[in-house]
This record gives sequence, structure tokens and C-alpha cells, in this order.
Amino acid sequence: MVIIVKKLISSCDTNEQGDVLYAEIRRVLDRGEGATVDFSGILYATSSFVNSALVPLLDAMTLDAVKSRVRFRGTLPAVADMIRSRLTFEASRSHAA
Amino acid sequence: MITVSLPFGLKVRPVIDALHLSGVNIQSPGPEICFDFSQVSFADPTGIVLLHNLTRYLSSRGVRVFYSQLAGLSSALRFMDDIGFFEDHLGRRLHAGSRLRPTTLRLREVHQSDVPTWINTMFVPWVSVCSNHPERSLGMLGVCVSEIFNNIRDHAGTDVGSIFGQWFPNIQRLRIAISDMGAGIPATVAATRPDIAPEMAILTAFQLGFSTQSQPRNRGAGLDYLVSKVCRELGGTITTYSGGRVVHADESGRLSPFSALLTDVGYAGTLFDIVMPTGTLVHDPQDVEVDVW
Repeated sequence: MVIIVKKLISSCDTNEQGDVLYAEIRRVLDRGEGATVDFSGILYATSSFVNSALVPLLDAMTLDAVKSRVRFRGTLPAVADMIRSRLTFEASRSHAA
Repeated sequence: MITVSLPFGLKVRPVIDALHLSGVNIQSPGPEICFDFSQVSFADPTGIVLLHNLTRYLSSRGVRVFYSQLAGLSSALRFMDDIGFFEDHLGRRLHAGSRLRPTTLRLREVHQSDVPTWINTMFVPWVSVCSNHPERSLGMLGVCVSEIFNNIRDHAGTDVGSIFGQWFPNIQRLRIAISDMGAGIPATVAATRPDIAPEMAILTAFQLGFSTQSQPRNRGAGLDYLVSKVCRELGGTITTYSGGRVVHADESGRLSPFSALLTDVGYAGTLFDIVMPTGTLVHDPQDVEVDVW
């Protein structure tokens, strides 16, 4: 299932915008499907956005599971960098704890 | 009326000192303040943003703010006129021929809800033209600005900040000043870490993973991102003024407090002074999309 971010929210700046994307990803995953999140048209994503949109996935699955069930496309460098750094750091932090 | 004789160089510390010399405390400023521009010969982005915010703040508290000695229109005043400073505060430009220069952004007071639009339609296109980098490679700069405004909203107790940017083509450097009139980082950190000294509070706020949890979902990543990208990746610097303290992040990302405090005039807010070379921004012209993993 492809989730087009630009159809859900106008930008990826805030926790609240992240909540919207998280709910959509969760809905897809709960149906047992994989999600492809399409960031086309999005220039950047903040840490607050990723903290709400993607980091909560780590509460229910490992980083490897997130990688296999949630794919990304249309990610410009600043978007890809934030997703990668946030998920990697939070996964290592929860693993350390 | 209290008259504040603004300094020769309009920068943060001299402006604060000028307020102090005039006996002004911005938390109890009196009914009228006049800023005298007769000595101002140089206007630095940080001083401009601070004075812009200060005027707004005082006006919002019912203080009548006046500007004097504007007739000479020095090069500094002309510069401030070009970026809209006097238009914002006096309702008119000082000189009919004043216009925005290609090397400057217009001075803005930006509300949190307007930040994404401002970044996408004003800031990034302007940097793109100045630096000759495609907009798609400048998302990192958008993150930096948005992170600061998220920080203002979450920690400063306000949802508005003032921002100004200047491009220096001869040295290929971009300078951005962003300021709020909020509670300041030391006071915010002290709410959860009362044992911590103000300078340490600012240093701690930059650590990845540290959060005051003023918003439950904060994870302490925003300010670390700034240092990681602006300093370590691009070779820029960040100077943070907050709660009367000053902390500098050098080109390697090393954070160190300045020993000299700002004079206490009741200004607790935060001001970020970001200087970054744009020659170190990299982009692959073919690269419109990168793999996350």
C-alpha cells in the first residue's frame, strides 16, 4: 500500500503532522500489509515530525522489522537523512535500555 | 521618557549594554522608550533581530517606543531600511528608494504556523539563488530553521520568532539570526534540572537525547542536528545567546561557553546566530532521491 505524504499533510515540520502519517502507516500495517511511504514533493522532515510519524513504530517492532515492512520513496537527502538518523538512534537507545 | 543611545555597532552585547547604561530593564521598562540611532554606523544581523524583537515585545506590553536621529540615513540605517525594519515599526520606509537587496532576506516576524510556508517559498528559494544550489539540495537548511522554531514553540512559551538572513558572496557565507523573547534555555532546563548552572543548561540542551520533556514526545534531537549539520558537516558556527549566557559552537562542533555574561537587563530570550559556508554544501545534479537505508 502506497501512502503519499503530500496528500495527507502539507509539510513535515511538526509532531501533529507526524501523528497524521503515523496513524496512516499504523492502519496499513494493522491490516497485515507493507507500507510504502512516498515523500515526493517534500523538501525536508524535522526531528519532531519523524519522532511522531515513525519512531513510535519501534514500540511494537524492531528496526529490522520496520525496514522490511515500511519502505520509503521520493526521499530527498534531508528527508532520508532525518529518517535514518532518528530511527537508528532511537532503536539503539531502546536496545541499550 | 528614557532614551537609549544605540551603539556604533548594532550587535547583541553592545545593544544590551546600551539598555543597561540607560537604566532600562525590559521587564519593567516604564511607559516610553526612545532608541537614538545617531551613533549607529554598522548593523549586524543579530543586533537587528534583537532590536526588532525588543521593539515588538515592548510595544506588546504597552510601552510606547520611539526612534530618533534617523534623518542622516547612514549606510547602516539605509541597510535596515532596505530589509524592512523601519517599515515594520514606523509603518513607512525612511527613503523612497529603499528596496530589498538580493543578498538579504526581508526581516520577518514568523509565527510557528507560517514557518513551513516561509521556509519553502521564501527562505530556501532565496538561498538557492544566492548559493547557486538547487532547492532540493537545501532541505537541511529548512530543517535547521524549522527545528529552531519547534524549539521556540515547545520551550520558550511563545510561538513567534524574528528571523533575518544575509548572504556574503565575497566569502560565500550565509548568516542567519533567529530570536525569540521567551523564557530562555537555562530557565526551561532548570524546571527539570534545578541543580544545573545556566551555561551548562545550554550545553546540555545541545546534547543528543537530552530533553526537558516540556512536550512529552520531545527526544532531544533538534539542537544536536543543528550542530551536526551546520558545524561538523558544513564547517559553520553557531552562537547561542540565552538567559544572559552565551555558548559558541565552533567549526568542529565543539561547544564552549563565553565567560563574559550579558548584562542583566531582563532579557532572557534566545538568539541563534548561525554562520555557514555554502561552498561545502554538496549535491549531485542527478540525485533527486536517495535511499533511506
